[in-house]
Amino acid sequence: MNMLYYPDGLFLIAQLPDSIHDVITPGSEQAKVITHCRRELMQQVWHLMLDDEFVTAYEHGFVSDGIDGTPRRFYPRIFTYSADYPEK
Amino acid sequence: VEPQREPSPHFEFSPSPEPPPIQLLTHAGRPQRHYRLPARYEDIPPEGPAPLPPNLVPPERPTIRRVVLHVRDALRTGLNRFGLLREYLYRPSYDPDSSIPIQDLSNSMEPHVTSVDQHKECPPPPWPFTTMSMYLIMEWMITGGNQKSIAEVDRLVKEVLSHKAFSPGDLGGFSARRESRRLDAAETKQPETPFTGDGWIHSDIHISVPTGKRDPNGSGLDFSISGLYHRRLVPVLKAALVEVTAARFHLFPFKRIWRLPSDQEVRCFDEVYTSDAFIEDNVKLQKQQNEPGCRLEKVILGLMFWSDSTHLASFGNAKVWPIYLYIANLSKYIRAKPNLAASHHVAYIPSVSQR
Repeated sequence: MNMLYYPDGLFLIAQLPDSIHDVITPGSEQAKVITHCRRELMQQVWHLMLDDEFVTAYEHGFVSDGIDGTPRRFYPRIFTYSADYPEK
Repeated sequence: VEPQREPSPHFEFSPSPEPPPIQLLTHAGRPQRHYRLPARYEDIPPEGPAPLPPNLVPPERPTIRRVVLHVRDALRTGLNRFGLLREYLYRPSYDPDSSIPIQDLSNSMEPHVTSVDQHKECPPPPWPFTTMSMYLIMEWMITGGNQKSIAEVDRLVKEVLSHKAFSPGDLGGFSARRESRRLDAAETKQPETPFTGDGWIHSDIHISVPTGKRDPNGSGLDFSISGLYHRRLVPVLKAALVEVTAARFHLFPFKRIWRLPSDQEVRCFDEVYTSDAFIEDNVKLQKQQNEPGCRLEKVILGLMFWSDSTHLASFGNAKVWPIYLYIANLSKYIRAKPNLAASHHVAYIPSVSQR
């Protein structure tokens, strides 16, 4: 594993298990349905991660004095998101 | 008119009052040339940005405020050796670049000094044993031959009794039966996953699978996927703000400008906190209404998410799908430094999906 970067946080996502094939009706649309399911999974993961607590912090900030002892109100903002297509 | 010269103390014992200037001569007796290193070999030591100008007029806060004024206290720093300056829209209350040690500016790695004494000391006894000697005896007992032979006794002396961590004093009240029980009990204990107690949440995800049939309820087939391990974002952010690297966070965006010798100015884009996106978001945030009763400084904490499925093994398809989070307020030169803590973070990946 080539991990050179030090992340501040790490989240692990489940992947579609093989048993998904049991619930998908066989047919010509099977590949499209799988793609749809993978996309849905990613959406649900982000739905869980961006929880109410985060949304509240996004709107109203949160106070921390961790930098130099001076309390400041921090507002999280997402600047970059790089990912491979989850449906692939 | 010859200027009056005082004899320098070095030539006090010289008979002549005017010593000739010392000229280095070559072997051929010619005056030596003054050699200069070509400019391309000149090593320019790295230099941090120029410091912020001193705050001469402290911003005064009127006790009764009727008009909301968005006062911008824009400022420019001086140029550093490379002609780079910083331009802030708002005066920063904190400058992480004010004191960067020279080691952090250059790429040369200091040799890692480990104390030798650390290795000389005996390691703590392996869990669940209380002393190293008990562990050594027990290890000898359960390994090797079932019936201890001459070779086994040799092994006892060589590997246990002469071990530097072995001390007979530790074996006070030793009972092989009790230590065996301790070992058995430890093995039957529920294995703790690294995700217990570290703020990790295990969640199931429900997705709806299209069935291809018209459903009066409008929803497809519910399918549950287990195995998402995640942490609450806000505690992760709060933890990031108290870590050692937090002292290097740039809380205030700025424009990095390179001034050419011809006084032309070129904007440099090098970090997230020198980007227009960050600057614009900061302007928006400063205009935003303060939280009721809160007069604290408002600061943007930039987040950068990165996700890629990662193969765990070079064969088979054991994969995990992590999402990493980086703080954009930290310079990429610090963020991208190899850090031992990284492998520590990633080493405890528990679940391996089959796809």
